[in-house]
Amino acid sequence: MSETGAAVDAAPARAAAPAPAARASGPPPGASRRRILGALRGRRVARSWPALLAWLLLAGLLLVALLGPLLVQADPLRQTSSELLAPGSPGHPLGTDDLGRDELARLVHGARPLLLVSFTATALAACVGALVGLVAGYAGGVVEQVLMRLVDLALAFPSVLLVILLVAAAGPGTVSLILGIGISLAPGLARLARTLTAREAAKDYVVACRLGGTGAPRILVREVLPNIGGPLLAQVVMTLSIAAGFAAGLSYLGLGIQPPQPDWGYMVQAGQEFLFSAPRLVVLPATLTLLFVVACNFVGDDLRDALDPRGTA
Amino acid sequence: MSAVTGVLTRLRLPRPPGAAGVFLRRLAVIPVVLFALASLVFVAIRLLPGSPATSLAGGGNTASAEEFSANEERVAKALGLDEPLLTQYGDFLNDLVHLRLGTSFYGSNSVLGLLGDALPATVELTLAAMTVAVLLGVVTGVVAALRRGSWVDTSTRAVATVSFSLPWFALGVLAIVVFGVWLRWLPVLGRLPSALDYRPTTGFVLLDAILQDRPELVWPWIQHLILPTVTLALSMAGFITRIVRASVLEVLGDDFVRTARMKGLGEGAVVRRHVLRNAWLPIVTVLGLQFGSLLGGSVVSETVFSYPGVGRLLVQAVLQRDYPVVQGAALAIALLFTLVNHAVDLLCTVLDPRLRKG
Repeated sequence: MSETGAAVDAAPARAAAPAPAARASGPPPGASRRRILGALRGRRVARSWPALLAWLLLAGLLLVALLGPLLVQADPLRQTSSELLAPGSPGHPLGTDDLGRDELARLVHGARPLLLVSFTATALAACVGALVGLVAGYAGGVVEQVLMRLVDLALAFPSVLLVILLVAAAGPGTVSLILGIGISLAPGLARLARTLTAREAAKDYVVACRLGGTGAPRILVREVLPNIGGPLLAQVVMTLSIAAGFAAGLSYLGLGIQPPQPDWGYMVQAGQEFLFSAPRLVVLPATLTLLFVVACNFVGDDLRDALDPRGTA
Repeated sequence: MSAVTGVLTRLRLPRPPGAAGVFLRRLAVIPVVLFALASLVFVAIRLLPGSPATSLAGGGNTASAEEFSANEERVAKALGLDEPLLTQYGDFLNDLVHLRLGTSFYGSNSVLGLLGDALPATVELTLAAMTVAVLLGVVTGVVAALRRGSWVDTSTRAVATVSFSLPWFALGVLAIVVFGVWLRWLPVLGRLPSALDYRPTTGFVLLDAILQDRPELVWPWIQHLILPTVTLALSMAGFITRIVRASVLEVLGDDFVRTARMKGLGEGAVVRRHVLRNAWLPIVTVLGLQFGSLLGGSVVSETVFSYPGVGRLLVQAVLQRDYPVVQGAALAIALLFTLVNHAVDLLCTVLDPRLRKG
């Protein structure tokens, strides 16, 4: 919105001002941008032992994904035809798979796609959701109606189906997976962001900014976003575990990163052929996936308690 | 209230009074929702980058550039993709209304036939999972609420939190390894052993067993259903547990519960006759909402257990780029979801007369 636009808007805003003023007791004008990160300060995370365990597990898996490939010498793609489905040995601590590839190397390298997709898709969902929610909540009127009805429509669709359709249209691959999961998780966040924004926009300090001639984008980014950041971020971290579950499930279905690149989800599917001869090919990646998603879940729960103690989200 | 009806209540349709009026209004809304869902499927498949023609013409072989574009054009023509979008959309809706869903690109199976085989299997699986999830969720939820603060409560809540977003496939696969491979208690794949030579009449095994007088079908059917059902149910039960616990705790504080206790009713009777009856509503509402994720879960779960349902059909079609089947399966799932959601909404109005006023 331009400066003149804001000035024109000021007249109805002034007329409407007394009503919200009665119940508005928002933060002082110019609330700090640090508030989003500051939401965590002074509140302790990992207070219970399951939460602590989950934090450690998640940190461990992240370390494996980042540093593991540097530490494990074996090539996850090299096939040794003399050692198909070999059991554990000094050369291959966890044995080899059906093509004679080192299982340990594949597990270590296979962590990256899942972690990458989970985190990037969550970030995408957060950005899209926050943007749509902020605009809809602040603009109101027709813009809000159109955006929110679209959100309702997306929510009325089973989200796995939505992701699968998006991936079907764009073709399997990491990027499709990120886009699909990100877009299908955005509507839930958009709905929350809209509610929070609409509540915040009625408060004195926002009205004051608008009357002072601040443009809408600046108000949204500098004033509204920092003040709704806590509950919104709390929901975002909860979204992470859902994204992780999706990412794992869809790569299991073969819709994610394509073979021969290692990936836990796809390794489980490929290993299912050898359930009876080498169950470890299924058990190891499935257990790691399970641990990762559960850790995300607990960490998300823990962070939510810390970020949004009143349970606004 | 479900998300679907949420959309529609906001459209401010006129509201005839009375239960019958509500019923009719809800029914009238279904075609509108289906139209929206069908349009979404159309948009997802035709408008997003990556045309079916391109991927089909590519087909894995490295043809020359001219050959490829000629191929692409031919496929596009065959699929009607060279028509203007609006014409395509009109044709799509017209075919849909007449239930012409086309034939699979692979083989000559009609999509309708494929769906007819797969839908009963999915309905069986989701119904079984829902039943197990409700039983499990209600029992654990009530126990957790009655023993509030005890270790039972704490551990139930922890498990419920975890199960909320568990990767179903990992759980399913591990269950296969434990119960199918190590313990050898249960079969690991499929719906029925092929040796039984099952020929569907209705497609629902239990019904067919009665109709065809083949009781030997029932036990293998149950055995095959156990693992996929439990895997799916666990993911849903956690959510139900949380809702039941919260809703029972709320009702427990009400005056009529105190009255019931004061007049000397045993704790069991209080819970059954007074608490549960009043705690049902949020539970049923959540069931409707959760059905969507249950269907989503069945897509993965069916693949894990090679269970011949719509979800597996959809995934295979996506991987083979069999667009008519993708479209049909997606629509079938969306239809199932919408119908269940509306059934749940109706059930809510039956359970709680207050909702009839809308």
